Parts: sequence; structure tokens; C-alpha cells
Amino acid sequence: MNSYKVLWIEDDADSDLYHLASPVYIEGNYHLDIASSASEAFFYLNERRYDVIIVDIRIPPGKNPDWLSRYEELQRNSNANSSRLGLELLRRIFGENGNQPSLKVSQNLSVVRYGVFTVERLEELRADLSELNLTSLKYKRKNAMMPHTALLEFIQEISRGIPNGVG
Amino acid sequence: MYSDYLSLIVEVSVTVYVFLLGLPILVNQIFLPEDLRRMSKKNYAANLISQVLALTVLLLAIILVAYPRTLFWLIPFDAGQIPGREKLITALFFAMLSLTLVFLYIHLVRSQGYRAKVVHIIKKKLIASYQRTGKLDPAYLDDMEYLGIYSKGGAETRIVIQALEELQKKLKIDSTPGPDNDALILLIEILCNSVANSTESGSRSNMIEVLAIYKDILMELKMLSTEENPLIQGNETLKIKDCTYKIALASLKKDYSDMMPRVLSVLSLIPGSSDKLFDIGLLALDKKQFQVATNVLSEMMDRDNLDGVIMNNYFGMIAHFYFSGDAARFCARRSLESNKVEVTEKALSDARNYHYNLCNFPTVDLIEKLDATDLSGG
Repeated sequence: MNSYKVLWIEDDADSDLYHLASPVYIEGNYHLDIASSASEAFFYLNERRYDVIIVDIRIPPGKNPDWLSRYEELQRNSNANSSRLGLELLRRIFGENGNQPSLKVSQNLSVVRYGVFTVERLEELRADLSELNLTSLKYKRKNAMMPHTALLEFIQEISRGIPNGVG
Repeated sequence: MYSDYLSLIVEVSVTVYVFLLGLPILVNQIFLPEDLRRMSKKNYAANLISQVLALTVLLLAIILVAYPRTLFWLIPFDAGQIPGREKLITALFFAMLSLTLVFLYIHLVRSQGYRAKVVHIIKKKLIASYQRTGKLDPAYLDDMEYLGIYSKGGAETRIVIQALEELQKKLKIDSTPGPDNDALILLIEILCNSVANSTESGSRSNMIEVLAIYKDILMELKMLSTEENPLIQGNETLKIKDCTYKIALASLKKDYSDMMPRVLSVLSLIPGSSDKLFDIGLLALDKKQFQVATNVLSEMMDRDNLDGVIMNNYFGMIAHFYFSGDAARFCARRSLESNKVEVTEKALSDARNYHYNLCNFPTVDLIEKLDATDLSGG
């Protein structure tokens, strides 16, 4: 089978955004896993290999004590950024300011496999993404008017950019 | 006149005392819901004894001051001491009245949020019993389950689920080969019963909460699994599989189809769960919830190790899709095509036999009608 394995890190996927997942399932070329928190994303990234990884910026910490304490720490320092754990996840995957990644995930660290699908505007994220050298990361903004195929189209856009297809 | 006053005080005190004895029953009847009244494996009102004791002492003191000679053969007070006696008995009486009012207030306040308090007590007792013996006290567990099943769906059930979640965090998964984690298995079952077997209409958010707990347990089991001891294949996982299936059925019956990604997400972590996916898919097709059925069909093939059982269940689903209308037939063809599944007579025959042995006769009939050559695009 040559299907793409896709991880969608999104806490609203089983409620408001449920309809976005269906076109991906029915399309047939993508096998979708959904992580609803940073802890779940951490687990999936260590457990399985994905071809495409879609990250939401605002995600809850989940039950992992490490992520919980990081969330609390961010809350103490700055309330506005406390729920931006998707960014923190990217920081751990890719490493910040040339540092080695602190999260030892078994994923291919090619930026082309990752996409950010969030309600935040790109301008709000630009500074953080350039810190991580991820300015070339694919980005799509969630909004109330988006069609149900928005996620599928975004996955297709990312998968087209992977040099050797399914890896 | 003096004697009348003492008699009056004694009579009123006795009335107040009798009223207090009946107070818990009164409060229980008026303010506590039936399930909380009936749930009685353990006693959760131990401080009643101290309250009754305090008022008994006060009542005896009042009677003693009123009738020292008549009842207790004591020397009566001198006439000069009478004003002092009056003051004393009045003070005792007001002390008793005040205490009764305090106890009444306490009972009324306790009856508000009583469920949460009882759940909290049970949780603490269960944690204590687990820390002491390594097992969960079955009587407290029964009470917790009772509360989970009989509480009204929504906020009331959520209290029980949250308590069980806290309890689950305290349970240490034994990763040594051999024995099951019985406490964990019981907990998984109670969580399931609280949302899927409840007498009240289950709430969607509670079902999602329970599935999230299951997912956490599975992730932990998976991380603790080794080649020598594959915990993820143990009875804990089996119980989660059954319970997730029950929750999925309950959610489909209530038309909470948007919960399905969560259900599939849990089942995707469980090895050998294609049978449950098949059952969920069938129910979804039966209820014309094609979105859910399509998700199930896709999830079924999302396995690193596709074995015979998965393929048999997959062909069973394909057969049902194939005969559910033109669009569903098209979907079945696309699924076969995108998954690059080669349909052979042998594969269909294996699937037929598999479903025959499970008495899935309608599925057997539908597979019988499938034409391998046609499905392979020949």
C-alpha cells in the first residue's frame, strides 16, 4: 500500500472540526491519526512514522507530566502563550536557534512534511517560526468559512511537496 | 409557676431532641436523590453519632436540673438558689436549641453537593485501600459504580468520571509478566458503565472524557510493553476494546456521530480491533451514517500488519458497502483501488467462512454475491 500516513494534531477534531476529517478518510489515499493534545502528539510521533504532520498551534497539554509542567510554566510567565503548545512541540522537534532537538522523535525532520493549520494569523507566528528556522513551513489558516475539504487540500499540498513521495 | 416553667423547658427540649433524631431522615427524604439514598454499602455519615451524643448530654443535664429529686433522688435546690437554677436551665435549653439549629444548617448545607462529597470520600477510601493492600476495596468500588450508573447524565456523571480518572493516575501498572492489573480492569469497566450502561441519557462530553482516559491508559500500556511482556496485548486492552465498542454503539444510537474520530483513534491503538470496527461500521451503515461507515472502512486498513482477520472484516465491510447503493459501491471500489487490494476467489471464500463461523449470515450472503473478477476491475 502506498497511502500517506498523516498525523493531525488538533484538539477540536472530534467536535467542531469533525467534518474536516471525513473527506480525508473518504479520499482513500491518506491514513489519518488524530492527536488531541501535546502528550498524544508526543506519543504518536515516537510510536509511528508519518509522511505528513499537521500541527495546530493552540493545543492542550494532555496528561503527560512533562507537558503539564511546561504548560503551567508558560501560564506563569505569560498567559497569552500558555496554550501555544503546538509551537512548543515544533521547538522540541526541530530545536531552537541551532540547538539540537530536545524531543527525540523518530520522524523525518524534513520541514516539507510539516504544516501549520491554525486560527492564528501568519504574522503572529512569523517571529516564532523564524526563530525555529521554519519560515518555509506550509501554513493554512482555519476559519469559520472554510470548506470541509480544507484539511484534505492542505494535506495534498504538503504531500505534493515531499520530494520522493511516501517515505 | 416555677414548676410550670421547668416542665415547659423539659417538654420543649424533649421535642427538639426527638426532632433531631429524625432530622437526617427528613433531610435525606427531602433533599437527597433516590440513588444517593439507596447507595449504602458503606456508611458516609459517621459524625451523626457525635451530634446525637452532644444533644443527649444537654437533654440529660436539663432534666437533671429540672427534676433532681423526682428522677435522680438528689437533694433539691434551696429556695434561694431558684433564680440560679432558672438561669442554668434556660442557658442549657438555648445551648441545645442553638446546637440543633447548627446541626440542621450543617445537614442542609451537606445535602447541597452531597453527591460530590460522597464521591470524594469514596475516592479517598479507594486510594487508601489501594495504597494499603494493592487492591481496591470492592464495597467502595460498588458504591462508585452505582453512583456512576444512576447519576443523571452530564455534570453528575462527570463527578464520578473525574474521581475515577484521579484514581487511575494513582494505579501503578504492573509490568511484570503474568498477573493482570485487576484494579485497572475494574476501573475501565466502571468508567464504561457510567457512560454506556447508565439508566440516564449519556452525555457526549462524558463519553469523550472516558475515551480520552482509555487512550491514556493504552498509551501507557504501549510504552511499558516489551517483547517479553507485550502489555498492550493483555486483558486490560481487551477490556478497553469491549468498552470502547459499547461506548461507540451508545454514541451511534444517540446520534453523536461526531465522536467517531475519537472512537477510531482509541481502536487504532488496539491490536486486533478490526472485529469491533466491523461491528461499528455495520451499525453505521444500518443507520445510514455513511460518513462514520467510510471512516471505519478507512481505519480498518490503517494497520501496519494486515493479517487475515483484518482482511476478512474488510471484505465483509466491502460487501455491505457494495450493496448499499451506487455511491457506496463506488466508495467500496475506490477503497479497494487506493489500498491496492487484490480480490481473489480464495480471499472471498476465506472471508465468507470467517463470517459464517461468527454467524454473521447477512454478511456471508453479501460476500457470496460479490464477484472477484468484477471487483478486481477485470
